[in-house]
Amino acid sequence: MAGAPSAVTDLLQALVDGLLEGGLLALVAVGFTLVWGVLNEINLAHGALVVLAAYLTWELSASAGLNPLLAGLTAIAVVAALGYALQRGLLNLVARAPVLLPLLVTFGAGLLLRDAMVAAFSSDDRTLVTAYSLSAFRVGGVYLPVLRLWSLVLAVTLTTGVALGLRHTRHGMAIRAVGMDRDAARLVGIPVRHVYALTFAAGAALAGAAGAMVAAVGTFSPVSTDVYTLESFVIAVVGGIGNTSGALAGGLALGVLEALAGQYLPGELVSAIAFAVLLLALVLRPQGIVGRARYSARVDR
Amino acid sequence: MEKTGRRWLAGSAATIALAAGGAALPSQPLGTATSVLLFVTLAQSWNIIGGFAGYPSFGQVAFFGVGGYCAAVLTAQVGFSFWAALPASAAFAAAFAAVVGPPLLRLRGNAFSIATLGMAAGTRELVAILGVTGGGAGLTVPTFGPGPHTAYPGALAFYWAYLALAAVSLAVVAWLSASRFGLALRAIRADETAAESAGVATTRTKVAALALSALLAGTAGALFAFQQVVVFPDSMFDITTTTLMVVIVVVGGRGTVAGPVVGAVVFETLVTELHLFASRLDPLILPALIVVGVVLLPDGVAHLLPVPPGAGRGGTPRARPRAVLLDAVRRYRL
Repeated sequence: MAGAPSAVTDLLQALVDGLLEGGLLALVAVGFTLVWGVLNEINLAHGALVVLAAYLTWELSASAGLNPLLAGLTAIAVVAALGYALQRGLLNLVARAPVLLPLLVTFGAGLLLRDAMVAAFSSDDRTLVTAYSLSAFRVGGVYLPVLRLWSLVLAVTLTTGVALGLRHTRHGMAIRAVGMDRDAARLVGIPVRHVYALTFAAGAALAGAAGAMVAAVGTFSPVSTDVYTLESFVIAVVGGIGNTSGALAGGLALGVLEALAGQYLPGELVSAIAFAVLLLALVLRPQGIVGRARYSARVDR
Repeated sequence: MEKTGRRWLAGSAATIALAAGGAALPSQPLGTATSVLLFVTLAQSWNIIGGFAGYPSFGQVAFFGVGGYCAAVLTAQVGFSFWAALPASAAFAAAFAAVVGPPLLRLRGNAFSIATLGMAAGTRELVAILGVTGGGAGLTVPTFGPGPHTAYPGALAFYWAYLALAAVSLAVVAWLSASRFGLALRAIRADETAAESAGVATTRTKVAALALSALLAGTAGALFAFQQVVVFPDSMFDITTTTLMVVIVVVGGRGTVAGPVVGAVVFETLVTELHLFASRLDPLILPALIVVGVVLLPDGVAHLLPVPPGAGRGGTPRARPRAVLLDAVRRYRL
């Protein structure tokens, strides 16, 4: 490093790190907010799906020697299929029950996945090292790791893609219709059970993409599941429930906030940031800080 | 009130029989029975706020932990005897609930659940940082030595103490179920806006329900702290405790008097006994039971009883249990 880093460089580096980390967080959260918004279901297994995809990517590429990109895509497909089965086979059975019941089922499913992963992969931290893991740009004293930059690009692309897909494709319109009024949707011929499962599978696939990216840029272990679920929750609330572009903004905001906190606050307070943001958001503006909740005019019978 | 009188009599007789029976139990079944009784109390505590009022708290362990830590601090740092610390801890847990209750109870449904989860995690962090609680290193309740202490009373005494507490919880919920207060809570669960316009002071009623549930959970926490002797943030604020409370009430029957008792007996026995042989798959048992239990019994076993709770006094026509089981699944299925 050339010379002592100035306070300005430190601040810039923290901002950049926060934005890059925020991209990953947004990617983690966008599937969560989609499921919450459309199905009115808090998926407490979301973090477990993220970590499961990370493990699958790791096992397929580091152990089985598959190309990392191919390994990531396979992991996404597996996690999406699992999500479809989970919604179709279990969660659809309690879809009309008070929200507590689906919440408990996803909680149980997440716990099951996490403990199964602890049993299968043990609970030590893992990192996927590839030829391009450590390459980085340097712009005026600020480091830009290439892979993290890609994860931000992927996050922006996928969240935009989901928003466009929901608006313009036939399946996307079916999903939105179900989110607004599932009984009316059924009356016009939308297969509601299938669309519920499809929405959950889409959320799981996004969790899978985030997990594959986590495997590439960071460390992970079964313990990370709860952190990812909590952060998704915070981002969904901040960005407006069901609002996918809001999730992007919320993710970036949380990433920057946590990076700045890491730079300027004592260590034990950093983990409290997400909670503090959550409580403030829930109590002051339950409809979202950055964005507005979609499906606020939902009809539930 | 002939019938009510007989019920109270039967309850008292059963309690005395259980107290006598405990003395005859060998140590392992006694341990299982003790933890069943602890969870009867905890489940009834959750039942008041989550079952009757319909506010599914996921942070109930906070009140258990606050009660336990209050007892530990009072005995270890202030020099109280345990039996003086017990009511003080219960009152402190209730007061804590009355303080955190109003902002939390503004939220509904999922948001309430997650906010209470956050409240419990925040309380745990706070306890782990504070000096008076011993931080992450934990705190020891003095049970011997030269200083002021309460001698450790032994397993059978704890069984009796938990039995007494479980009996009190059951009595409290039985009273609540028939009282005007319980009626107000049910009205809030059914339709809060309608309840408000019918003259129910919703905020005050909800906070009172949370404080009452915290009173029970805090007392149980204080007893648990004494039983464990050494308390840690991880043991007093274990999320699994909350999960068990919720699942026991859901599978037993939300908002019923008998349901949580049945749920606690079945669930705690299953969990404790299954631990004995399936060691490697151990951690998978509880989540699997949660998923299966909730999907198959969304309204709880109490609704399979010959006269379902909540049925009119005149009695709705009896349905066969099998049909009722499938009905609950059909009703909530997409």
